Amino acid sequence: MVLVGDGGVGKTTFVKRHQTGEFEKKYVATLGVEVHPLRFHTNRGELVFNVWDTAGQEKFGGLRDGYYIQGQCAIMMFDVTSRITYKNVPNWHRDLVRVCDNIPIVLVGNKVDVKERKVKAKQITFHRKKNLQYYDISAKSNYNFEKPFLWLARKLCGDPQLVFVESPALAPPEIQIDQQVAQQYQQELDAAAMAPLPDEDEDL
Amino acid sequence: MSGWGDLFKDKYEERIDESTGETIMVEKGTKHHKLDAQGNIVDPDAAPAPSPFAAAFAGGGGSSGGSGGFQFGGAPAGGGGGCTFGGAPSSAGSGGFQFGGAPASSGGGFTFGGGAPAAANGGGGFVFGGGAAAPAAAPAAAATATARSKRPAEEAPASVAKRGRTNALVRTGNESGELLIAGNGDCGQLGFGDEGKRDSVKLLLLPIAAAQICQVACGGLHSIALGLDGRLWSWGCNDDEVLGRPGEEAEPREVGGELAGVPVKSVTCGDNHSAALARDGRVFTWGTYKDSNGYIGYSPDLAKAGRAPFARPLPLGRGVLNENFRDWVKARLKEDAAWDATEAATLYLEHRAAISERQAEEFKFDDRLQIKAAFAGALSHPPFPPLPRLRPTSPPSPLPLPPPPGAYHTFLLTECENVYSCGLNNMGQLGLGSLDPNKTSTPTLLGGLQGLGVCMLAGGEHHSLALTTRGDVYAFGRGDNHQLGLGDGVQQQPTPTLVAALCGVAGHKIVCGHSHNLVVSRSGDLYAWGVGDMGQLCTGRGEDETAPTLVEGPELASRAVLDASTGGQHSVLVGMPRPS
Repeated sequence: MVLVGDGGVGKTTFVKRHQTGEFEKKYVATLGVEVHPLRFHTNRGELVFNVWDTAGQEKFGGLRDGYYIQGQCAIMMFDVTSRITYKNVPNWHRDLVRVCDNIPIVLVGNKVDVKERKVKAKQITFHRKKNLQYYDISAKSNYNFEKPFLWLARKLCGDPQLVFVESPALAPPEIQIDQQVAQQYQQELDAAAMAPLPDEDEDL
Repeated sequence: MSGWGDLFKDKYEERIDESTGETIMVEKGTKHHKLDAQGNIVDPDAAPAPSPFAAAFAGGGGSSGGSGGFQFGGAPAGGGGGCTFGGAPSSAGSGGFQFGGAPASSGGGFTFGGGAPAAANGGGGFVFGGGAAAPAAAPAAAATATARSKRPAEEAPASVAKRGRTNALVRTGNESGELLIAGNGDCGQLGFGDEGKRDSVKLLLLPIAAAQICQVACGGLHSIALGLDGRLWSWGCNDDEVLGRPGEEAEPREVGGELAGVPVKSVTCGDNHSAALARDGRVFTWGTYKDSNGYIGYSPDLAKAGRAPFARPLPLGRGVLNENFRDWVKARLKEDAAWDATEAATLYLEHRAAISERQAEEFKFDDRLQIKAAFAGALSHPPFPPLPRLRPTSPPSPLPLPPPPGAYHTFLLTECENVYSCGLNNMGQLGLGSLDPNKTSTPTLLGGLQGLGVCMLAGGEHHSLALTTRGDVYAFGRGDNHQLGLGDGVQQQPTPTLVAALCGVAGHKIVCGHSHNLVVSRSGDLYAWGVGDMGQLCTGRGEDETAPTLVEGPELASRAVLDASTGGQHSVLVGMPRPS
């Protein structure tokens, strides 16, 4: 699984939450990536996501093909407190699908624990235009950590009934997300999902 | 693997991952790719790379804190709106610096002080700092096979773009028009208000209280329009107070603060900051600049408070650069740490300042190197004039700065129309004829553009355009998303190459977005190519264009394009009713 997004959006923080993955990670010097094997226990047995995390090369914009090449699924991440990172999501998507045609992709907005959220639910439309899945997450509080993986697992297996039978060991949350706020975000997301997309062709 | 057997036997197979040596499960039918030493796919059909490029990405470590800052070029900091840089004030009569694209200029769209010295062809090959010699670039038209191939080249005939009008528009500097806008507006970029139109692949007329618009500049997610009366109107994403005003962000409102009542001559935007040149010569800036370590730029009060109601434009020399920033630069100059691109980009400010200082100190400094303008590639570079108060900590000899680890890229244009480039060259965006060096902090003569009379440059994320006084457009750098407009599936082109599809179209202004381009012709037509799925090409199709394409449509049928700019995923034009 490849993990892309602007520098500073929290990719490494996110992947390090998974404790055994962090323990078993390997560094691939040729590509400058850390591979974290994230194990999940499903009703069909153990599933391992080899998550590739860059060592900051994304700061130069774009990544080398080798980063994408074995990708069978992907998470694209932006920071909901910085709209400029959301701006770059289409560019990441472009680079990703160029090498990995047709793989399941989840878009995640990180740092929803931060009070000053800048990217509102209704502004997040990219995933709908490209048929991706979207989740709000908060790496530091573990909020929704498993969601993207579960969605990807179901897609990869073609089994919409797949479930995780036991939670992976996650690092203890550094902060607690306000349940009320989280609920409100979820409602906003649901509402946004129901709303029609900004119509690009209304007068065609 | 119990429980998976039924799934796996049909769908997946075991394969050794070349990069890690591990056995992994791979979907059957997945192509086997071979990777080269740089980690890029080796396409057996492609010719070998002209030169290897060093795998020189310094591991910056996982970034933390900051929110991405300026990593990506959503729009050029340079280009007509003018990232600006004047000749040293003390020599060659290059009167201070001027923003490019000053309305008063005719034809080329740039006004530069001072006449070009006659030494245009004398010697050439001068290189700052005496480091690497200028590479002998191949003739401009030489097509070079490319290294970064992935897909089979998409064959497209090298055709000529459909022509617009041929008569040059008379531009006296007093023309004005209306705003036309297209692209993505998830963050209010289109200016139709919070509940208004959010996306458009077609050009829309954006009503604005000030009807007479003469110039426009786009940042990553915001835009600023300049009226003939010298007032500025901003709209779009107002994170970090980049709009320079309070109030509803998603519709055009007048920039206030200390700029209120100060007539502006020219305006330019970076990803998340803006700058204006007042008619009285002062420079105002607002918005801020941050990297993975947080705020490092100007608007110190804003950074401290975290949240000022809106940033006040700050006149140059009055706290534009705070002490933290100065200390930060000093610290970086001493330690040989791994810097990230944004940090390195910032250092270019210093770099430029040093060049200026050096010129001021040494008259004997080759006057051909009077810098007319600096054009920064990508949005990494704050669009700033020289910063004379920042002194390097080591003697400025030959160049005070250690090589940055991979900024984006910057062009310097000299009085005699020579171009020097520096910065990241991983895709040939410096135009040096090869990917070697992978990056350089030494402004290096761009031989492939010598003698062509370059008057303007623009840079996208990994590609570049140059415009000549004749109106020809040259492209180089990354092309895998059709950024180059060469129409032949060129993935990468390290040598400036004439964009043949634009032959006969005299260019007035070139603008690069992240992976797309706009060219305003002297006749007031607009040509666009590159990535277009967000509508940023204004073609009405929301698709990529592999080669320069004339932008048509109802909004342009009766209008001439005076000015154009493009941001992360949106573009803004100034359209003037055509004289009948």
